[in-house]
Amino acid sequence: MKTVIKTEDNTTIVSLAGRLDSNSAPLFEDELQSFVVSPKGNLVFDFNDLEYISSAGLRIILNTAKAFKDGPYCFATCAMQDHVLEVFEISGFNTFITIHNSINNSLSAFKTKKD
Amino acid sequence: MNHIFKILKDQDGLTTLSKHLAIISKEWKMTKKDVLQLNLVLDELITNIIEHGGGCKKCPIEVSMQKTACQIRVQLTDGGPPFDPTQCKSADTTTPVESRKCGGLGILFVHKFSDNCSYNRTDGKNVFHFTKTYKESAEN
Repeated sequence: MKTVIKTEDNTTIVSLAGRLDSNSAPLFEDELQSFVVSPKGNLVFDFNDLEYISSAGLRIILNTAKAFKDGPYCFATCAMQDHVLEVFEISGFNTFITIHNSINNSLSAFKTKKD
Repeated sequence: MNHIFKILKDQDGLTTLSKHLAIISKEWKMTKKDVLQLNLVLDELITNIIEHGGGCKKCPIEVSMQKTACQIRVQLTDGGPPFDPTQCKSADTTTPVESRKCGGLGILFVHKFSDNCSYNRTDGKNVFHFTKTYKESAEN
């Protein structure tokens, strides 16, 4: 799996491409540490190019959601492919994690919340 | 039609799985959705065996897949200690985020995306069967 991390409007955008499974999850978890342990801004996972996710990947998403739950910053996901969305829905993750259609929708929602 | 392959209990195991699924998905004209669901079921079962199954690390997991008219029958065999995945508790998907645990999602996906799961211990090996119903893709 490949990840690209950039910052825009006080939001860290993490774009994932490929497969988030038990092979790629440990490295991804390491990459996220500085954003999750002590959040200093909003965070969005852009899943546009993520083809596949397993329970190993969902564990990281869950821990990220927990880290942002009571803080001042927002966490969201966006642009899910059908398989990833289906897995989210079966897991019930869609009940506590915001899913936007696109990265622009996420950035707009964060901006609206701030304003 | 049968497709049989072996997966080593290391970090290349899931890569091997994906390569074989890419082959059979073309041969058996599977839709992308069915391939990803089948991949997820096998991924969760194999990851569980690799991480928790113990036993001989060099002994591969054998995956046997058989295609019938509208089903794929799968058998996973490994020589680890007795372990019945069907007895694992699935995740409670209604638990709120603050008390949500990570465990149980894998077996939830196994039950959701497969049919007729069964386990038995035969000749000192764990043998897990399941079937997956599917329709041939019109695109391939």
